[in-house]
Amino acid sequence: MNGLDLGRYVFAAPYWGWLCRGSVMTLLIGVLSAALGTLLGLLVLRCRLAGGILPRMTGAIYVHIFRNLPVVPLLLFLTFALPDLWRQITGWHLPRDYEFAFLLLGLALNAGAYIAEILRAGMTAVPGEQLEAARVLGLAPAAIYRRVIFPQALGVVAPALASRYIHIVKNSSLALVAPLAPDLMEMLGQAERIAGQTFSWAEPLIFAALGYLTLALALSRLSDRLLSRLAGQMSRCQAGRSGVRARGWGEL
Amino acid sequence: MSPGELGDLLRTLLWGYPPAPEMLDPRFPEAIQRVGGLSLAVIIAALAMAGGLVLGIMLALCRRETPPLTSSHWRFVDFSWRGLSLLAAALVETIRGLPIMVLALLVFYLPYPLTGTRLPGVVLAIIAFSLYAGAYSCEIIRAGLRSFPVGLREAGRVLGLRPGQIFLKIEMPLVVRNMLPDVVNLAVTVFKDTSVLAVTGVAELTYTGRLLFMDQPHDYGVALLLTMLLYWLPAALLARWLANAGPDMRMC
Repeated sequence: MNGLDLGRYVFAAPYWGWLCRGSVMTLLIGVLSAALGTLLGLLVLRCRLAGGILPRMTGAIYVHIFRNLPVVPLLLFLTFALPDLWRQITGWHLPRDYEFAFLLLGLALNAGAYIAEILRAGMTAVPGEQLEAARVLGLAPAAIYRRVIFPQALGVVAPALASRYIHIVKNSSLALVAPLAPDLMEMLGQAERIAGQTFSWAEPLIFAALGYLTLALALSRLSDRLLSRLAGQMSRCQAGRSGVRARGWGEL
Repeated sequence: MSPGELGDLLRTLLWGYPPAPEMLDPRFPEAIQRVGGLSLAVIIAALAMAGGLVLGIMLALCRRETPPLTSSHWRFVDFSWRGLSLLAAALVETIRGLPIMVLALLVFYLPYPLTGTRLPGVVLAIIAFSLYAGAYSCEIIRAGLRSFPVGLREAGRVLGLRPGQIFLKIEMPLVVRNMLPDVVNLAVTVFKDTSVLAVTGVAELTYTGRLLFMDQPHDYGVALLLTMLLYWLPAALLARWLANAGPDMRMC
């Protein structure tokens, strides 16, 4: 038992810089994996809504596999086993810092499955009359989805989507298991690096915990604000719609 | 890779890697310390869910927002006052704001420099995941209690039931059935998230899979693939069961 010495292991010369660099990388990994996951999710959603059986099955299988798969073994497989396999099969070495790309791929695969599923749930929650009404108005199929169904679906699932995005950003902490170069490590990786040199985990860990706590708190405040604004807009929309109905068929 | 080797691999992943004799702690029975792999992951997840539900009920009781006088059936367990409620809220929000990797590392590396006590890794793992499950189940329980319609309580009172009877015969069955899908979902999440324990050296499934891969790095990552399969299968089966049975469970 020797207490905590934050001054020596967190605020001292090389470590403070490492941790600051780590927090930037945490943000970067979080944002990149969220963006890639969104792209993947939208792609899979498109596949699942397409007519053909093959894209539909592919999308369903992808979601089913990656939603039930923990991220840590996936990242271990992608960053340790897959490069090895590649070398064995082709005999070529991968470019430098390929682990970072595989790390992002793993996080995005996980994120995309959840986002696709949430968006699909929103799509099925939109009443079928909306589709029929849009069709009667003569909108093109692409416009029906882009301008009628999708915005309403987004409104329905916005809270679930927001909490999933916070989760995705928090998942960047799992980058600890990937063998990244010191420059690319996020907060926890830098904390482990400090621990490897000084044998004290606790102090840099406290820095990382406070960093993640701040990040999560800020994101949840932001999402609360956005969601309440969205709810206000939605309710105004609903009020307008029911107002029309009240004027039209109110007495029926 | 021959079928025999594959069988050995699977057996090790299910029951754990044989620990080195010098790693065994003489203070604890040897049979317990030999458990590893999937079975240890399931044991940790199950005990953490049990502890987490107890903790979650206590936190939910501290945090509930119904004033004590209107719900008289709670009087015999009522210990809600403002300070406790704020404390519980702070604990829940902190745990929910931290990524599980950071929470697990904090539980593993913070107690020793602060208090000088060392506990076995499995015990620390169960504590970490109990805290995690407790914070999330607190929210589930609060949402469940809030979903109970006040009208039913009033109906019970009109019928002449005592407050305790209303609670046990009307409120409990409905609220528990409402919460069950979310609790099962949380259990699946906790089981999947036990994979982060690999970085803390608890010999659960991911740790075992990584060790096996390190032993045989040129086996095309079969050990890690099998590890992922062993996480995926129980999680997918439970999720499938939940998707079929879940909607029937909710009653109000």
